[in-house]
Amino acid sequence: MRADFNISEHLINGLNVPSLDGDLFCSSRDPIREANAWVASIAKLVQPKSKVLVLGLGAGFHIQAFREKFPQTPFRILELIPQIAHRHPGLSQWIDLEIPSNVEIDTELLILEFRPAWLGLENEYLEIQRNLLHQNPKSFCSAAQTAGLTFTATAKDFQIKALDWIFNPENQSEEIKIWRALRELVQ
Amino acid sequence: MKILVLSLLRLGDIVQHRELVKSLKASYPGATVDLLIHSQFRMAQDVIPEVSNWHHCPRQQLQQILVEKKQSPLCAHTLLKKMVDKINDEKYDIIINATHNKFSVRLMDVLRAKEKRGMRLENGRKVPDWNRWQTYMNERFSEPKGSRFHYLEVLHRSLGLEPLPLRETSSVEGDLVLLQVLTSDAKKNWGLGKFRKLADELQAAFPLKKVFALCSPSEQVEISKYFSDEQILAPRFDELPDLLNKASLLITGDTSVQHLAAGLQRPILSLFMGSADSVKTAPWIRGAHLLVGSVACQPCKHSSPCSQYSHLCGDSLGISKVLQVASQILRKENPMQANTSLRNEFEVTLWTHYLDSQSPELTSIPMAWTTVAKSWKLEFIDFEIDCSRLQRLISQMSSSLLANNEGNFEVLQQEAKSLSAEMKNRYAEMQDSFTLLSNALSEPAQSHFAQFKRIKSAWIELEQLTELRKQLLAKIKFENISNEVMDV
Repeated sequence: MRADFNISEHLINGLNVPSLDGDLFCSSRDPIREANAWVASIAKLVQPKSKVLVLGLGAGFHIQAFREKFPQTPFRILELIPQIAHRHPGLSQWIDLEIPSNVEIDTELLILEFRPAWLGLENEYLEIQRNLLHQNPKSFCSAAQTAGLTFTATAKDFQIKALDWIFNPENQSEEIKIWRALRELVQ
Repeated sequence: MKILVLSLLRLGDIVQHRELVKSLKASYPGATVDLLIHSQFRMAQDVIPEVSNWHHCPRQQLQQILVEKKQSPLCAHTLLKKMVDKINDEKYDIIINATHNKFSVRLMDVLRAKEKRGMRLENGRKVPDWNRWQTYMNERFSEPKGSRFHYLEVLHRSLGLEPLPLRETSSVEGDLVLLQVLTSDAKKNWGLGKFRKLADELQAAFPLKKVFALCSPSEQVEISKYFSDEQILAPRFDELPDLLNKASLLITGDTSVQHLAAGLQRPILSLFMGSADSVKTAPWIRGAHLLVGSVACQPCKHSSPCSQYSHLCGDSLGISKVLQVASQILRKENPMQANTSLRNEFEVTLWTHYLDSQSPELTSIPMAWTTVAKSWKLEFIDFEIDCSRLQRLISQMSSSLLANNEGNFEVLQQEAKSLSAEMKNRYAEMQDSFTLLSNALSEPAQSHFAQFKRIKSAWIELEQLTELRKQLLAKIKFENISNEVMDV
């Protein structure tokens, strides 16, 4: 992972905004509007019992907007650049600088991304997101095993519409029957 | 005895399933009946007191996990498994699938009970239909195909249950006239402007009544463009029974409120248009009144948008007609209802025998049939001649298939298809007798063999219906009609 981060500050619409090598971690026109639009886009996903993990802190306006909209929702933020994390001392208790090592299946956990905050580390964040959402065979199998499920996954297994193995008529385990039922919900 | 019913459809269907719950309690005295519904329709719990326990399927959450991909797909598996385990822990004696969709069929495969009924899979394989009613349900109720029977009647019989006798509309007066002005489907809406005019005219004609537009709280903003706040009632679902019990009349489209009012035996005037099918989902009560749009494309498919330039079926129901019928109901005059034709009665009897797999020997023949049976007989002779033409074509198709002459098979199939389409127009009253055959001839199949298998099985249904029709007509002649009349 890249270690040299040349973070500097800019003033946009009267707001302090960080940049990396001259590129901003949020909209250069209206960061607040961008943050509110992001919250609106994820609002319907947040349930009363949801716990939220936001990937990317960046300029932090989206976190501010999120807290205003969902003051009761527990949340954490993953920010990979320490300098960015240190810019927000008020949020330090909710910020993680490292990937949680073993995320178990938690039906209340919602993993949200704020892509403008991924600046310079897009691939790293993407990989973390895929791991946390069990969207690669390794994390999928590991989480499935922890949950007591038995099947082995191939690269496309996590695409429910492409679950080839569920069509094997020989496999009539309850586990597979549940996958088959789930598949009908997204046909 | 513990019974679970899967009611994984929409709110209106859940409300209708109250009748099924009542029938089950009547058939199994002392049994507890539980319902599995989608979480988003929890409000139904407040209006179906006969249900002992409710299970909830978090369908929206599951779909959100799988589609939005902000959570691991394993979460969806965990959630659904949790629901399945909870149900299986109840150790039900009977589990009934009152839902006709693939999800419920798959779910039946993981749920455990001493006995299961309704459409289901067993280790991934479709369990053969329990009876012909179940086949009829599968064929006629998943798509906008006509049915001779109400949904609840077919559902009950497909599960081997006798529906409870239809109750009469209550004559208890109320002060309110309620207009349920929106439905769940734009095609089924009559129009807010028309409802507003109707409300004004009804209020003027019946000053002692209070006319209100009824809607859900979420619809209030839209309704307020046409009605003042004083004219709108936006109760919670659990408040509806009290309100409906105070109503002299509910005017509604095909909605859950309509079914709720039917359960409460309140006077109803239903306006059926769009995908609303006046036979399948009319209020399940005697004395309800129906006004049905009169255009050829109705009833249309539930999920697809209106295919017409304008909402023709809605336009065909004028305000004056609705006002006239509503006024007659409020004045306790009996509005003229479209009579079920004798011919329809005959076909319903025929289909009932066919679906019950019974011969018509014990049927008593209504006297009224004797006066018109001659024309039926004449029509039926022509019908039989056309059927034998069809039979010839089908038998030639079989020979072509065996001779590997696929080109000829297709030519004959085309010919049979045209003939069946022609027959559909010519014998409108009997057209549902060969719906299955027409579909088998038109719908593409994986191979000619697969197609022919479907054609053959549809032909058998037509043959059996034809034989039954013959027996039933012969019975009219034998018991009630002079030889002179039948000598054709």
